Amino acid sequence: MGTIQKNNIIETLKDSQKAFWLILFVIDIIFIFLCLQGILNEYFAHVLVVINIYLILSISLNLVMGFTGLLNLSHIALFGVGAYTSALMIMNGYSYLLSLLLAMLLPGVFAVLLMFATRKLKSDYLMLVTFGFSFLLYSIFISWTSLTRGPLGLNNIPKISFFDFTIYSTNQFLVFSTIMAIVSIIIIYNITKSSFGRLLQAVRDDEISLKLLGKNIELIKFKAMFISGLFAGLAGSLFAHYSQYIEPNSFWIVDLIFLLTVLIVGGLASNRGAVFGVIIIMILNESLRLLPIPSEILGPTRQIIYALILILILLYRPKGIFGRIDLK
Amino acid sequence: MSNLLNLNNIDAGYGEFDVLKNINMYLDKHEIVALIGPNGAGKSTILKSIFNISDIKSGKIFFEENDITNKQTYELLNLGISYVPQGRINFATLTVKDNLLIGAELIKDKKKVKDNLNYIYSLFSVLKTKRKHLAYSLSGGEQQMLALGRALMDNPKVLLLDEPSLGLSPKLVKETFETITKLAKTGLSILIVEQNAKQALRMADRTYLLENGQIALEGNKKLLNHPKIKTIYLGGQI
Repeated sequence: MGTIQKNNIIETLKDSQKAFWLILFVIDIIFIFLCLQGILNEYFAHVLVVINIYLILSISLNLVMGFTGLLNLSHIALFGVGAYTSALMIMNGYSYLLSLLLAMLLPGVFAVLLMFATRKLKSDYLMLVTFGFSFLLYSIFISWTSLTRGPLGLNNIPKISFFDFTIYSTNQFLVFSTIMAIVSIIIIYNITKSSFGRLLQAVRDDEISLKLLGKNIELIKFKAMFISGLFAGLAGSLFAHYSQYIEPNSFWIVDLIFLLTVLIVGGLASNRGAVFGVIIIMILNESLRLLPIPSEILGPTRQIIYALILILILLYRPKGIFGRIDLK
Repeated sequence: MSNLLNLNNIDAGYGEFDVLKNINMYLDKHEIVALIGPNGAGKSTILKSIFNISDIKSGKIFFEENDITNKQTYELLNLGISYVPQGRINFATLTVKDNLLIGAELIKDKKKVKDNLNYIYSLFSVLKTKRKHLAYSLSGGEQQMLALGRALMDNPKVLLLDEPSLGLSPKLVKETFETITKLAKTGLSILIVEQNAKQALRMADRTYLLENGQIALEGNKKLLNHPKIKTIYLGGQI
C-alpha cells in the first residue's frame, strides 16, 4: 500500500513539473505582452530583465552547486569576467556577437582553470578557495585601472546591436533577455536530464563509486564548470549592455549572497527551485521598495531579510522549496 | 594458462605497506571461487589488485590470456571485469533506475542497455517495483541487490564481490548467496571475498584460505572437513 501511495505522489509531482513550466511560461508571456502594450510601465520591464539575468545565473550555478555538489562561490566573479569582457570588447570596436562569444568562453575557461587548481579539494575547502577566487577577481577589477578604470567603473557601454538591428528600449531588451533566459533554461534542463546529468549527480553522491565504474571524475567536473562558466558569462554580457555601466561592486559579495539565498530557498539540484527562487526573492526585494523606509536603510534591511529567510528555510525546510538534497 | 583469470606471483600493497606475498591463483569460467581468512589477511587486497586499486609490486595478472596488470578501470570494465566494493555503495539521491543505468555508461547501444535493465529487473524484481525510489530509501538487502545489479549492467564476464553479506540478516545472507549461485549458472565467473567461512565454503566451487597475505590452503568443498578450517574458522565443528 505504501509503495502504491508513494508512486502516486511521484507521478503527481512529475505532472506538476510540466504544469510548473507551463504556468511560468504563460505568466511570462502575459507580463511581456502587458509591458509591450504599455499597460505596465518601464519599471516592470526593468524588474523582468533583471529577473531574466539572475535566472541565467542561478540555473547555471545550480548545475555545479546543486547537481554536481561542488560548493562553488566563484560564480559571481565569472559573471563579472563576462560583463567586463563583453563591455571592453565592444568598446574597442568588436562586433557584439564576437564579444558575446568571448564573454562566454573566457569565464568558461576561468572556471575550468579554477577547477583544475582545486581538483583535490572538497566541500568547505573548495568553498573557501572559490570564495578567495571571487576576492581575487574583485581586486583585479578594482586595481587594474588601465583596463577596468577601477572603482570608477566602465560607463557608456554601447547597447546590443547585431545584423543592423539595435536593442534600444527596455522593452526590446526584455524580449531579447527573455529569449536568452528561456534558451539557457532549456539547455541546462536538458543537460540535467541527460545521461551526463546523471553522472553529475553521481559525482555529488559518491565520487569513489563512480571511479570504480571507470569514469573520469575530474573531466566531469571540468565539463560542468565550463558549462556553468559559459552561462555566467552570458548573464554578465547581458548585464553589462543592459545597465550600460559596470563597476567592481556589481560583482561583489552582496550579489553572491543573493544568488546563494535564491538557490537555498528554491532548493538545490532542482531547476524549478533555481527559477522559482529568483522570482520569489526578486518580488520580495522589489516589494520592499513600496515600504516607507529611507533608501539608506533599505540595503541593510534586505540583508537582514535574506538572513531571516535563510534561517527559516534551514530550520523548517532544509532542502528548500523544490530541492532534493541538503546543503552539505 | 587457459584459465579465465590468472594471478602469477603477485606481491601487492598500499604505498610502502606490503600486504600480499607471492599470490598464485586462478579462476575458471562458470566458477565461484571464495577467498576466506581472518581480518587483515589480504582478501580484499586481492580483489583490489585485480581491479588496479592497490599497488602491484611484482607479478602479473592475466585475463583471457591478456596481461591486465595496471590497466585503467574503464579498460578492465570494457574487458568484462566488474567490481562490487564492500559496504553497498550506491548513489544515494539517484533513483534505483538511474543507479542501474550508470552501471551501463560504457555501453553505447541503447537497446542493449534496455535489455540489460530488463534482465536485472527480472533477476531482482524488487528493484523493478522500486525503480523510481531514491537509493537511500532502500533496505540493506535491497541496496546490496542494487549494487550487484549495477555491476551486472555492463555484461561482465567476471564479478569481483567484496563481502556481499556484510551487515545483512541471516535470511538475507542466504538469499544473497542463492542469487550469486544463480548468477554463476548463467555463465558468470565470480570471485568472492567472504567472512562467513562456512557459507562461502558451501557455495564456492573452490576456496582459497588466506593468512598474513599468503595462501595457506586451497581446495574444493572438501576443505570444509580440513582440520585447520574446522578448528580455527568454524569453531571446531560443523
